Amino acid sequence: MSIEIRNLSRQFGSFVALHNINLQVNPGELLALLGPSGSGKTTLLRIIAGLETADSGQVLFNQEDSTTKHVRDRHVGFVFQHYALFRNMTIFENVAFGLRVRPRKERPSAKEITRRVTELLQLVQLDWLADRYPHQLSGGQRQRIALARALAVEPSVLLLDEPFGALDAKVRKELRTWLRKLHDDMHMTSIFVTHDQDEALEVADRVVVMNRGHIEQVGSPNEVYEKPANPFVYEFLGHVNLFHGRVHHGQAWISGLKIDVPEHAAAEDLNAIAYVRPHDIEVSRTINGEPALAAHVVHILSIGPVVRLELVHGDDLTQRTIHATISKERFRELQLIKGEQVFVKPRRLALFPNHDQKQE
Amino acid sequence: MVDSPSQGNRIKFMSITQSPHTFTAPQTQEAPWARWVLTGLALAFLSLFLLLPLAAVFSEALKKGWEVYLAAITEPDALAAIQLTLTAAAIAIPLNLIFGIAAAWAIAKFEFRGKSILISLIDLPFSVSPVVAGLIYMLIFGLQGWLGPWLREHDISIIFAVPGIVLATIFVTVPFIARELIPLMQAQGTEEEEAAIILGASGWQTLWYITLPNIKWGLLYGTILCNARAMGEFGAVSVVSGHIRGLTNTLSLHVEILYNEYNFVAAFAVASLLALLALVTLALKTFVESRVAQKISR
Ligand SMILES: Nc1ncnc2c1ncn2[C@@H]1O[C@H](COP(=O)(O)OP(=O)(O)OP(=O)(O)O)[C@@H](O)[C@H]1O
Ligand SMILES: [Mg+2]
Repeated sequence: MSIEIRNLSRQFGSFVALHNINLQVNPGELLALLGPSGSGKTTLLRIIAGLETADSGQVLFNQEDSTTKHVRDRHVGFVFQHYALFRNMTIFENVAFGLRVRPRKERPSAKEITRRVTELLQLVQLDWLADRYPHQLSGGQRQRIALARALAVEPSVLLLDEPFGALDAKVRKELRTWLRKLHDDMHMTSIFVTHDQDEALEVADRVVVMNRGHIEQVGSPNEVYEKPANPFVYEFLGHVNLFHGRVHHGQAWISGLKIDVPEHAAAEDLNAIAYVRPHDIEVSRTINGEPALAAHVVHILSIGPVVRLELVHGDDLTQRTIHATISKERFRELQLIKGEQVFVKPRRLALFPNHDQKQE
Repeated sequence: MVDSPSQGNRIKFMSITQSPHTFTAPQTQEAPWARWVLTGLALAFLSLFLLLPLAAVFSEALKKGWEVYLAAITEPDALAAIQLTLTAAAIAIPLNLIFGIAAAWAIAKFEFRGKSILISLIDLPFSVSPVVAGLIYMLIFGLQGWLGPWLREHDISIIFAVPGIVLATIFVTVPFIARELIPLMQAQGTEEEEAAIILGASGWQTLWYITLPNIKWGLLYGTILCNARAMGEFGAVSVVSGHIRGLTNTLSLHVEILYNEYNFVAAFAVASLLALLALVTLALKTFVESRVAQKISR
């Protein structure tokens, strides 16, 4: 099922929670809504589900306006951040609920219900918990039961609000791979909310980056990571080094380095900020003829497949920290120790001229 | 008046004992003698002000033996009083159940204008003296009241009749169930209901399968308190009743009449029924509380 969101806005009092959201979700897609706390992710998800109403704008399921459609009739599966399992029912009854409340004509027989619920519990590998109550389950188990319950009614759209938010790192990792597989097997359109960039980038087909009620960028994980549309997305996705500088006719001056930026050929003496990912910082012991920044090694963290360096550039007054990530081999080649001087230059950078604030 | 501890006191007493599970093993460091003295004081106080009167009620009632006792509570006027008390409670409790659930549901699960006014209104019977409540009904439905002439024209009697007593009982018992449910439902939030609706449940199914089971113990607790108040109410009912023997006398009013007639044994006999009711209520309440405590601790 395809979902289209048109010019959607929502205010709480005078606070704008969502501002003119436009979004197209393709059938069978797994979409991540990514953004900092308070950016409107939950609000958007709840409006799509019909739990909340928009002030203006539309939500279309398969090109059909669903603004006036009741939650019940949207055939949406929803997984709440805090699971919202029915505390008075056993796990089995929880999962069976969606089938049992159907009008008599559409309701499967008791035997059929038992079969389906057992099947779902096996799918989430928790069939041995059928007779327990929600409070007797661990967080990860509750999460999977919440999913099974949502899937019981065979929704064509699955919405998940920070499905792994309350779980520890290891369980999160397991569940996210599992969710991806589940999504592929079930042929649903899924949207999940998260504020964990790794989760979004790893699992989703496309990522929607939200900030203060706006959509900042929509794209594949690769697109948003490699070609962030604006400074916000750049900073939000992964670690970055931030440099201030100027740009003029395709050339940038960043911390005293002159760098060619042909895509900004039209820029006329503008202030600019430049972002460089830690793994795009080249570290060497000598200058090699090319311009580079001198820096000191202040910290070396060599756990895992890469080595993280914390470098300090500049004298006492203009001191700034640069984070660089290099491979283990490169680290061995360089044989760096704390306190040594190195030369760094950005292999790749993203430059955002500040158009509003012309030359002072 | 020889009612068991007055209504106001009884309510306070109940709210003090509301959290029995806080009374766990001694955690303070006082010397043993201090503990004994304090415990002794508390027990002496309870005996003097609660147990002694209770015992007195029963001993006075049975002073002239079982036969007199039975006769006193089975004479027609006493039976009529019992019947009226039960009738008033039987009407007031279901109405308060419906109103209490609806009001608590609205207050706990929705945002709307005038919510704080509704909460204050629910509390009104707690803050207004029952006698004043009775007088308000007189003012509205009495012969000289606003609706008096109209009621008389249509031959409807409310004051000095059963409807007045039922109305007064409803008024004084309004807060019990709603007050019990509001914090409970607020704490539970709306997510389970939302989950049910998304899964396709209708509003009634959600109420029946999700909301009510989640509040059942609070509901029972509120009902017990509501019942105790409904049956023991004196002030408001006294104003609107007119004290017509065999017609508009509730148990509490009947006790007063008998006592004023120096018919002490009969007065205490009927009072013992009220005291028994209080004991049963207490036992039920303790049971419900222990169930709730179990629920919380597991
Ligand atoms: N019912 C409400 N009344 C008033 N303000 C609300 C309400 N619901 C949400 N908001 C506000 O709208 C903004 C967006 O909230 P939302 O829950 O959508 O954020 P979110 O992106 O899901 O954040 P988080 O990651 O913390 O869950 C927040 O600033 C929040 O305070
Ligand atoms: Mg949220």
